[in-house]
Amino acid sequence: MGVRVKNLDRVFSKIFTVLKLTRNEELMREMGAFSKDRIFKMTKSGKSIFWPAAKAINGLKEVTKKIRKSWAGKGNQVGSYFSPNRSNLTMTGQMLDALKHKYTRGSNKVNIFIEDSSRPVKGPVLRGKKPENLTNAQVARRVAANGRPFMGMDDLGKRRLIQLAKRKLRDEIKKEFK
Amino acid sequence: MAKPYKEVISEKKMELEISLDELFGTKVPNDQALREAIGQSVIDKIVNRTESGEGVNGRPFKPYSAAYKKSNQFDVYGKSNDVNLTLTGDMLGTLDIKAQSRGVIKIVWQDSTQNAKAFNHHTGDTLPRRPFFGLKDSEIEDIKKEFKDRVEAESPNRTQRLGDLIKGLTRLNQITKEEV
Repeated sequence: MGVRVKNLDRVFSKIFTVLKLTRNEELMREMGAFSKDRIFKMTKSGKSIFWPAAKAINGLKEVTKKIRKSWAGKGNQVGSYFSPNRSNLTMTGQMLDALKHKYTRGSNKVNIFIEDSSRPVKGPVLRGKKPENLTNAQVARRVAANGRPFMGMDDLGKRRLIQLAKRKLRDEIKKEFK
Repeated sequence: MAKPYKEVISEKKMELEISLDELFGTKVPNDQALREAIGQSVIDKIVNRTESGEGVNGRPFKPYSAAYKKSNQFDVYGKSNDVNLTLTGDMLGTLDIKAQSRGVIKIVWQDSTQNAKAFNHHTGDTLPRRPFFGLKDSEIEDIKKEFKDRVEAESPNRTQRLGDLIKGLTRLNQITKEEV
């Protein structure tokens, strides 16, 4: 089970229709890597590109900040760019590290998804609650449902994908001159 | 050396309007594929030079401020002390050929935010001034050399493939307008 990126499939499919003649694996992989990298870095810097224009991810409650501070203070694993006070969907770092991109040859699609992998590091468990055994994809779905959607592509990102494709076409035109 | 282009530098519009006849000193064939290739070459020159930390005046950019270096974004995007006007890559990555007509290419940002950002860097409106938009004399010479043979050649027999590539680019331009 994966988490699919919304707002992106249509753009990919239109671009690939245009690129039927020049479609190549290298460009598709480049577009997949770009999309994955953009989601990862924008999220880590505290912005969600689920929306047409990037928005700050909803801030943390005071109690959450305390839990994060205590978790890190005890020397538990925290993800890259973790900060106790800043909301960037990073606690142990496992969910965003499970962000992947995949191109299946001939499928005319690049998927960007959170891998449905297990989470060896269990996060903090609140007193009175049972520990949950969620996968990374399940955590991503919960995060999105709780007001912090992050899998998507903003308009600027779509524009850059189109730019990648244009560059490819223009490179091909240049080759014709040689 | 007189520049073979007109510049528009404003917060709302940053544009290089390049006259190909002036650039090559001869009447350039009316060939969309050639214009696309020259336009991309201009963009490549601006982007590559800027990414290497050199301004359009040939000098290195002023260093980043201490406050910016301490920011979270600086950290997340793995930036170093090398000043290359690149954080997310959106500004340089969206520089594009806006329109072309016989003998003219326009290089612009179609996104208003990226245009304003470029204006700010280029003029130093609210940031240290780092002029980058335009072409150095040596870059103009490089472009002339790169396309000299093609400009002088008679109109070639168009291949089906080249026609298809052009159709693709035209369609991508429409998608940019419709979808984004």
